[in-house]
Formats: sequence, C-alpha cells, structure tokens
Amino acid sequence: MTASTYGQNFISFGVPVRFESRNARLFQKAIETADRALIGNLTPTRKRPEHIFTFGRDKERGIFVEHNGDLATCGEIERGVFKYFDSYLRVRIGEYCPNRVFIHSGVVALDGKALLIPGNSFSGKSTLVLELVRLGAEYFSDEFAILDEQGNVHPYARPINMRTDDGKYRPYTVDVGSSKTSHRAGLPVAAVLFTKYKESSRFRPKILSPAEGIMSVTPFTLPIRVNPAYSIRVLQQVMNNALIIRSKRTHAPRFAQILLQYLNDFL
Amino acid sequence: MSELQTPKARKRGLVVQEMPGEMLVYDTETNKAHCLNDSAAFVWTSCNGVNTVSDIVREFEAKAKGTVTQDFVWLAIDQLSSKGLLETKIEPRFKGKSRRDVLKSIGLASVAALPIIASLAAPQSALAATSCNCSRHSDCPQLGTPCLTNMCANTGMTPAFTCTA
Repeated sequence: MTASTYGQNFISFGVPVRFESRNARLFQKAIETADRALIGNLTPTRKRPEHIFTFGRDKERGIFVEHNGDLATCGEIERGVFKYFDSYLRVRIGEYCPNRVFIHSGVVALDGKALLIPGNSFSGKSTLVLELVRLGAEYFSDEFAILDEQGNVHPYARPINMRTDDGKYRPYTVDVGSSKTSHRAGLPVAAVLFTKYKESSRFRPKILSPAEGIMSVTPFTLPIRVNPAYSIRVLQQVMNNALIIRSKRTHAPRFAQILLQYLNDFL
Repeated sequence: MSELQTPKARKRGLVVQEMPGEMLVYDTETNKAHCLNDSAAFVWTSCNGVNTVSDIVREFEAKAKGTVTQDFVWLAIDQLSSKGLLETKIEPRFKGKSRRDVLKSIGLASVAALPIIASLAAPQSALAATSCNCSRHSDCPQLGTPCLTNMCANTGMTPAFTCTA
C-alpha cells in the first residue's frame, strides 16, 4: 500500500470509491479517466469508500493501479495502464452497483420503448446499434444496459467507435446528449435480441420464454456473481414484459432493416 | 439408490425464481444458472427428503400432470443430481444409455413433457467480456505497432489489454 498525498472520495452509480496517489499528475489523470469511463457519473462524496484505487509508479512495476491493496494493472506505458483502468472501473462499478443491474448490451429506443442486444465486445453490437440509429432509432448505449428495479433501462450513451469503409475504427458521431436528458426515468424494455453474425444467414427469430431469456443473458450480467438474487429479480421484471428472440444475422445494414420491420409488425 | 430412498432437494446456496411453466435456479456456489421445465421443477420440489420415487409419481399424476412412469421421475432425479441440485449425489440410473434408449424405457405411457434442465455457467470474470476502444491511434497501449483497429481486447486473466491489430 502506498502512503498517499492526494486523495478524494467519489460516488458513482451508488458505489463509493476513493482515488489516491502520491503523484499529482497520476491522481488527476485517474479522475479524468474515471469521469470519462463513467460518462460523467462521478460525484465527490463524504461516504466511506468501498473501493480504494491507488495510483503510483515504482521501479519494479512501472505505473501501477491497486484496487483495495491488490494489484489491478501495471506497465511502463501510462496510456495502456489507464486504458485498462478505464474498463476495469466500469466493470467494477457495474458489478457492485447496489440499485441497478448492468448488462453488456447494446440499447436503442424505438417509439418510447427499448430494444436490448446483449453481447460481449466484438460481437458486433455496436455495428448493429449504429445501423438501427441510422434507420431512426434513438441511441442509448453500445456497451451497457443499465436496468432499474422496475426493469426499465437507463442510457449509458458514450460515443461509438466504428469501423469505417477503409476498415479502420474511428469515433462515429452519434447523438449522445438527448438520451441522457430525455429519459431520466428510464424506458420499459419491449424486446431483447440475442444474435450472432453468420454470413448469408436468414432472420429466423425463435421466441424464448422468460426463463430462457434470463439464462441467455446471465453471461452478460455484470453483478450476477456479486448479487445474484437481485440480478435475477430485475432480469425477471425485464423478461416477463419483453419479446425475447434469438436469431442469426447477416450484415448489419440489411439485418437492421429486417429487424425493425419485424418489431414494427410484432410490437 | 433404491426406490425406497428419499431424495432431498438442495436449498442452500441457491437463488430460486419461479416463473409460469418454468423455474430458474442460480447456484451461487458453482455460478451456474439452471432452467427447469415444469416437469423437472415439479420433481425437484417434490424431493423433500420424505417422498420416495413412487410417492413422487403419485403426486405428479394427482396434480393432473399426466400419467408417468418411475423412470420418468428417475430421469429428472438423474439430471437434478448431476447438476448438484440434490443434497446427496445419487448413482445415475441411466448411465451409459443413449438418449433414445432412455426415452424408450420411459415409454409412451408418460404423456407429460419430459423433464429437462438446461444449464449455463456465468463467466469467470466480468472483465473477460469487455474491451476498450481507442479514440485515436496514439491511445494504443502497444507502442511501435501500427494500430489498424483502434480496439483492444482483454486477453483473459492477465491484467492488460492487447492490441487486436
């Protein structure tokens, strides 16, 4: 453990955290990274922290981040360390959030109701979310669905990085402002889509039962190990009231059109 | 296990959520989710440490679930035991038999839906499912590699991201 000169307590999504460091620059960088990672949900607090993150540099480890005294990450390259911390913090907040259930999922809103597309990174959910936004859906998130006790979903709208025509990934401009401000109470979930890309596949939706839906979303549910009872209760609220479908999908632009047509007809 | 023995459903370390026609059971010790269909759920809740297999068959039929054989209940008990949902593990009744043989032995006399338990494990670490995007090439943690994708994947338990370029 490092004796710290700089330290501050914050609260994010109900999780009290503390950042501390002997190095003013690393301390500042940590706060900036955290604020960006948590899309501004980082408020100073006097609450006793449950998670203490310590930032430092030594000869053995280079720049390091400790979480409650255990090494979270280290390395010589500062941006690599903070990049990892960015994701690490998001996931830990999602795991320990007391009154929300975080799911790895893309989310868009259609006519005041939400569509969830659970999936891990690199599963193509950002691509599909973006295509749906291009066709008129409202952007909520390409990373987390944040669910409350009533089963409503809240936005986690950060800028999307998308692969452009030249095959490189670049930030893609989406309207991340309106969803933050206009849906403070959250939106009910109308549909949940489990999908995997398969070239030339057809859209053949199989409707899942609520229990099958909960089972299928379990691998993407961040607090499932930390707080399984609460997670399952919230997931049940969602699945009981949503259309849950599974289908392979072809290229995102074509699939997005077919999906929207299907949802328009079905919902 | 003989027909006179009385299987007992495990309660400790489980989160149970009943739903219409199904039951979801999350095992906090193994971090596995199990989805029991109506037949499997009925057998599981009937395993109270007092009921024999014959008793469960009678209860099943009495609840108008249809006519079933003892093997039908054994099929459920085998699955419940292998998934760790019973207090004590029992010797599998249908060990080494193909699904076709099992269904044949249960016979057409059982008109109720066969007991089925689907299971899924939660990931070891929530971090394994995440990645992070660089907003510019210079964000890439791996210097000296011309990054083409601006994306990194977590390589698993190692506390580092690896450039996917």
